[in-house]
Amino acid sequence: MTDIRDHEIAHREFFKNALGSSAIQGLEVNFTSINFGSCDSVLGTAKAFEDLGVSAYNGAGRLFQSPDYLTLAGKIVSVKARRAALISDLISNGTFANSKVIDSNGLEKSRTPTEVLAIASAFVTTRLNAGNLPTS
Amino acid sequence: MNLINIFGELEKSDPEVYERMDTRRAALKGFASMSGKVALAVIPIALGSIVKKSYGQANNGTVLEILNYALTLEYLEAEFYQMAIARFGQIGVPAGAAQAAITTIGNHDTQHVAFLKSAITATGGTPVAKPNFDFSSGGGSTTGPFANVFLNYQTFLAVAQTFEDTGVRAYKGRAAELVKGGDLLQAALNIHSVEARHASHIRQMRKANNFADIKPWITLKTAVEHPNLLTMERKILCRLVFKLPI
Repeated sequence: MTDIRDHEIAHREFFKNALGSSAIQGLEVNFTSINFGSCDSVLGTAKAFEDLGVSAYNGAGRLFQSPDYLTLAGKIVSVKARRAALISDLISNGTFANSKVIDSNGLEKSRTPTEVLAIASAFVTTRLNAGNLPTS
Repeated sequence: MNLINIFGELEKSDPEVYERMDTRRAALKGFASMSGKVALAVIPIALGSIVKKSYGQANNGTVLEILNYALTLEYLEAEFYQMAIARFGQIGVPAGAAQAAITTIGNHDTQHVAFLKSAITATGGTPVAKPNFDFSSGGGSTTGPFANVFLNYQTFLAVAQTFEDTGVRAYKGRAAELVKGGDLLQAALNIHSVEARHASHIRQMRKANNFADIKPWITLKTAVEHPNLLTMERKILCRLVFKLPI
């Protein structure tokens, strides 16, 4: 878990550096639905976040205009996917790539930014808007 | 060739996030040029295909070459796991979770082969034929350093990890060439994250069996100590997959 937190901090700082003054402000989060005294609750939420993160990067990859940024996003998403697999296995061994996240072609899900924000909004108080993102 | 050293080097690498950019960029370039040579050697590319606007920047020849490259890697993984599934007892893969996991991974890779073949055909290309693989890494002799890959669980998982980590990097390494590639890029990314999940699980299996002290992801500290990782990986890939001289 410490490794995973450190990965996320590294990713956040990386994006803040890359975005400079264009970076959005830190988010106000709402984790009241998570029971931090329950392993099931924490792991279940962690799995939801990791799976959401992977599908978000998968869905947003096509919006990149720069090959370099696309490659960097690829480096982040593979770490996320490795973590998603671990957390799934911690909940129930063998679920690292089950049919909830992988389709019958062996492809993982993608989500558009709008879909991602709709799911993420349950945990975020700050209002998020993907309206100014390109859609193709 | 010292098998243990090679896998040790692989495990200690950090190709994904935290590496020093200058080293990584040079390494990626090397990897890309290697794959270019491989393509020339073994892959009949539909050169001169009409460039379709729907693929954005990537022209159709490049897209097809990348898809065939991916198909070659998936052929490798699919055959590797199908052979293993037929030899669980011989390898010593425990019944239950371990066999189920290998089966899950193998099925995905077989699905990837089918998917990529149809994608290549739909893009107007011809899927490359499946090469003959020598999983012993013997360059066709079948007596290479991993000759016991289907007889020894430890060797089997070590080779599996190499393939999975390599698969993740291979998709990542070529994704930039598909920038603005729409659905095809997205499909490549959707396979890429599945490969990463596989890699994570295989690494967990090795750790759980005390075969290697590793994490599901590739860690930082030794990346600096082993900047030549990609060279090692390239050697393995050349020998195992494409039977080219190192």
